[in-house]
Amino acid sequence: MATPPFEPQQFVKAMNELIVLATIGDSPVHGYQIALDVEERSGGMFTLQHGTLYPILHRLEGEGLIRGRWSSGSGRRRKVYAITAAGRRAVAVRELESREVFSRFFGVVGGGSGGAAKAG
Amino acid sequence: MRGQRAGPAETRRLIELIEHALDVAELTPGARDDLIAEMSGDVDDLYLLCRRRGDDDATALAKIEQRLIASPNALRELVALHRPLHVRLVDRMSGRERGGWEQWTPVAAVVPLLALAVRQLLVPGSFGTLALFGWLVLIVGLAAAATTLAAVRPRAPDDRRSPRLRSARTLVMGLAVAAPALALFGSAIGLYRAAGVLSSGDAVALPVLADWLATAGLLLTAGIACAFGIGFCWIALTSRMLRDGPAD
Repeated sequence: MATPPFEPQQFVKAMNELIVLATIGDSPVHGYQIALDVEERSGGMFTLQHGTLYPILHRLEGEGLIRGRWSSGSGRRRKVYAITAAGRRAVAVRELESREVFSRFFGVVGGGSGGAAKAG
Repeated sequence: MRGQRAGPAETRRLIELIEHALDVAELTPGARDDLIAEMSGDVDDLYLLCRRRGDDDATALAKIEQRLIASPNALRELVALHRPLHVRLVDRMSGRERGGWEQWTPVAAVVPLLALAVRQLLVPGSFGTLALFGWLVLIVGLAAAATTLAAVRPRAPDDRRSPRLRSARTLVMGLAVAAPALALFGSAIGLYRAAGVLSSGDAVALPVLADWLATAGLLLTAGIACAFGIGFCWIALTSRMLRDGPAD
């Protein structure tokens, strides 16, 4: 079966979703905490800026990969998120897919640099 | 709820930004309140966390603005995820999510009905004593079409049509209700008259009832077809409103 063509925008979107999904654990966590965790775990390389976190969270919630619920403390409503069983399965599948993409990428790039070295 | 925030006063400006952005978006009140509550809760909590970690006020607010205040793109995406049911319907009907014959099938179903109703109206005597209501239904349909055309057409190159489209949509919605209501009212009057004739005992029952059935059926068909037609006007107006973006 032919491999579908690579679409960079879709890949970036899928990577952002995977990063968020992999960051959310079983215990409920606030949205802002997810953004901070992504930054801290990636050593500041990945940041979810300009509110891009919210469409990702709501999309994942719509797909049933995370579960959002409201908690109220000190008279204020707060939304927290936790991963679902489907979400954990999705992390595993998407991680494999990402590895496949990177494997092919380095297959191309590695071959290129080897060729350049030989040419030089 | 708004105006009863328990969060720090320093974040008020950022939360007002969020509220303003979501106020002009096409969202149900429930979805809007939930989004505002979620985002403003995160803004308040992140502010307190930043301050606890030693950031000064300006740095904390800058960090929040950079991370949590949605850009127009993020906001558009978020709003699209929470589109109310009627907006989803408009998206499907206006061809943004489907096209070709699917988009035109409902139009093709309604146009012949409307044409038939107009044709019958123009035949003398076909609506009998209910011709007045037939004409009223037709006038309502024409008024809706005229309102839609006037609202959709830009009056200047930089014309902001949104307020005009919004008020036209409200009027058109009222006309969509008025058309079948007039038809129903006319049919009821016809029935009342027929009952009067029958109770007087002057006429044979069957022709009077048959006449009422024919004219009332025609009138109701015209009213319902007109309401469907006006429904397409409403969809066209909503579609233009969404395409133009939120009103300023």
